[in-house]
Amino acid sequence: MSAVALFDATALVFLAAAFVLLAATPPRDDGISRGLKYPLLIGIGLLIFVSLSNVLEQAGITQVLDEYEDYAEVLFVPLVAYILYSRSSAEQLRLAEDAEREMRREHELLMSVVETTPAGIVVAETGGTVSFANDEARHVLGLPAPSFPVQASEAVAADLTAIVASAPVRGIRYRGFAAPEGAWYAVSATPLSGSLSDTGGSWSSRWIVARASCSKRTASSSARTSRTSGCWPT
Amino acid sequence: MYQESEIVDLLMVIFLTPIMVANVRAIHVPDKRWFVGGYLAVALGYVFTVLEGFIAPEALNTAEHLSHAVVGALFFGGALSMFRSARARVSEQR
Repeated sequence: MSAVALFDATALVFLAAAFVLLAATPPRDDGISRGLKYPLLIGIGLLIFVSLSNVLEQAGITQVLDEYEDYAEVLFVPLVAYILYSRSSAEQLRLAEDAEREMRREHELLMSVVETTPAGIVVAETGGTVSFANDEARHVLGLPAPSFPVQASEAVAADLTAIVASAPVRGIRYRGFAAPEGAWYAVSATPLSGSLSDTGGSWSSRWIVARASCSKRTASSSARTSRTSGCWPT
Repeated sequence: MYQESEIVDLLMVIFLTPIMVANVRAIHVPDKRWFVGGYLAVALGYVFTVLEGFIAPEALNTAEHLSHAVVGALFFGGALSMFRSARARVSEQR
């Protein structure tokens, strides 16, 4: 037996064994997925065909497969390119989905914190357009149920415009928001680089955090746990 | 003398391999080195196939068929490694 025939026979045996092993390997998403397994089997199948053709030719049995051997060889490289591209795309898609899921989870966490915080938080623009307000801020500003963007009432809009125009500010005492006499708020405001609304004007948006200074609050300690009778004027 | 299909094979290897390199680095397939090695051996076989039409036909023909045997061994190694790791995961789950 010549060296060439020996190499061809070796290739055929190994490739056939690889085909059987791969076919018996259970597909898994984090390992060899179905999208990888079956194209890989086809690729190995093409190489088996080439080796079989060579073995039959070397053994002097037949050369009938020889003309088809070229087709198998021509198909192999594009098939490998397809396998790699599809696998890479699938992994990138999975990463993007994981990132989106994580972002949504973080967004929900942030929103739950913002909605339950005892301070009022508002995203407002010059002119009194409110892109977002948490539960506490909606209560203070007299805004309707969450449906943004919304235009604040004239008096509140004037206050918001004044604060937006003065941003960035931190912890200033502010008396306004059409509050009853004696109610003061500690207000912080900072510019936002993006907009939470679809109304545009993102460069004029301000993130405003306001909490009552409670300077004249006389509520009892038991009432402090009530949102409506806490620091915000009722 | 070389055949047209052999030149086509070689050209595809030359043009597609650089594109594949980025994808190979990006994907996470257990024991992918075996298959990468197998692909490189296939590519080497294509080079030998074309070269044997110009120089050292006997030696390069033998080298080409040797590369086929190497491809088989490397793919077998990769398949065996995948099979074992998949079986190990199944055993862990039980």
